[in-house]
Amino acid sequence: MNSMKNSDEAIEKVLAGLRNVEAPVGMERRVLDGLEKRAARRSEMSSGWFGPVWRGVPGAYAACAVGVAGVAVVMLMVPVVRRFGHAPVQAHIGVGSVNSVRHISPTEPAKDGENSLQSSRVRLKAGDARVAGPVGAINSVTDSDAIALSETRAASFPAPPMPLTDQERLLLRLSQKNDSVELAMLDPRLRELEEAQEKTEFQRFFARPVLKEALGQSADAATAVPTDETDRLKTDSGIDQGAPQVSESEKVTPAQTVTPPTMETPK
Amino acid sequence: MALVEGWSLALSSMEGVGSETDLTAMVESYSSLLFRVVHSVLRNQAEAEDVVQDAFVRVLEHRRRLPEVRETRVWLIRIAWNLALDRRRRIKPEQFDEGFAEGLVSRELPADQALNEARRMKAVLREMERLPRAERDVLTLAAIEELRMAEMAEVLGRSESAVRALLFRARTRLRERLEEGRRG
Repeated sequence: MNSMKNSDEAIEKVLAGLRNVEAPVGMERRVLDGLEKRAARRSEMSSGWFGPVWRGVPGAYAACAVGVAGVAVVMLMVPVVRRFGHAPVQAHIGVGSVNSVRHISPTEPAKDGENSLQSSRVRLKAGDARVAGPVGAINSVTDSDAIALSETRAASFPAPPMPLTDQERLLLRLSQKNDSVELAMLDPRLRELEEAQEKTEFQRFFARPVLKEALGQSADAATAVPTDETDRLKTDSGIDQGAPQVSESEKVTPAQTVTPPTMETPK
Repeated sequence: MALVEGWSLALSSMEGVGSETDLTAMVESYSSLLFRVVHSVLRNQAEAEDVVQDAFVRVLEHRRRLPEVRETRVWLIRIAWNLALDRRRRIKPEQFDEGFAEGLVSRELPADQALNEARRMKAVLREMERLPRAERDVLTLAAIEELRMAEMAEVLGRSESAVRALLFRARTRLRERLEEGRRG
């Protein structure tokens, strides 16, 4: 019971504290200052440049004045727009003539001539228009229509190809030459194979004469010193009977035994 | 006071519809009440003053509707109440409870008793925060003791009987929780 009383007391004390809190001193003034600033900002934003002029004028009169001013502006703008409405077309004349010159087809000489003539004519007329004033301007407008029509009818061509780079030119040369060796040299693996093959051929080339020389020396020894013993042996073995007679000039020398290197592997 | 008078004139010229609403008089009459209402929600003076300022800015923005307002007092309290609830989502009133609870304690008490009292106050505020929102709102608004039951019902958008029931439940629940806390 005592604790309940204590709780009620605490609750009442807190609620009384919330109830009796005092507003800070000068709050009203600060609130009013803030409101004044805000109202001034709003009036500046809403009034803008014409604010002081329109202040105090009734809304209906202001609306009428704005409407009349709008109609007057439209009426003044109509002749101006009519007079200068085609000015951009005149400005396009120079560009059109330049384009017509650029798009001359090299494959159509007749049209080329026509185009160049036409463009030069147009350029001349455009120049006249600039000099002659309003009449020239009207002519230039019709001419510009003709230019536009002729340009729409003219054949279009793709842009010329870009020049090749050095690398592209080298690749093109290799591919057009179609030399398999050169192409293969681009591949390091094939190049190594090629080198290995050449080495093998080289070794084979220099290995054969040594053998032949050895064989040739033994043959010379046999033929250069004919003795009875050897003759006897020859007759006994029948070497000379079926074998062809080899003359001195037909003797094999290392230089003569060289055969052109072939790609075949030795047996 | 010249500034305040100037303000009064400016506002009456802005209205121009017959009902010359004096915003200055409105600020002078209701700013303290609005401050207490908002402070009961936020429990911080600077935040409460800021919200009161916002409330009068809303009045300025909707000044054309002022002639339609039947009860200016309730209308103003409702604006300030809603703005305070909006502000409460951004700030946490619990962070200001310690200072507020210490302010509730009498300065004549000895230091140890003042500390215990401040703890009790803080516990009450904490338990108030833990109440269901409807009960907490009714209890907070009833603490002002300047609003009749019908006015409170209009501000909260509930019936009078609902407000009575919520107020009773809020006090009962708060007391029970405080006793449980004391026993624990």
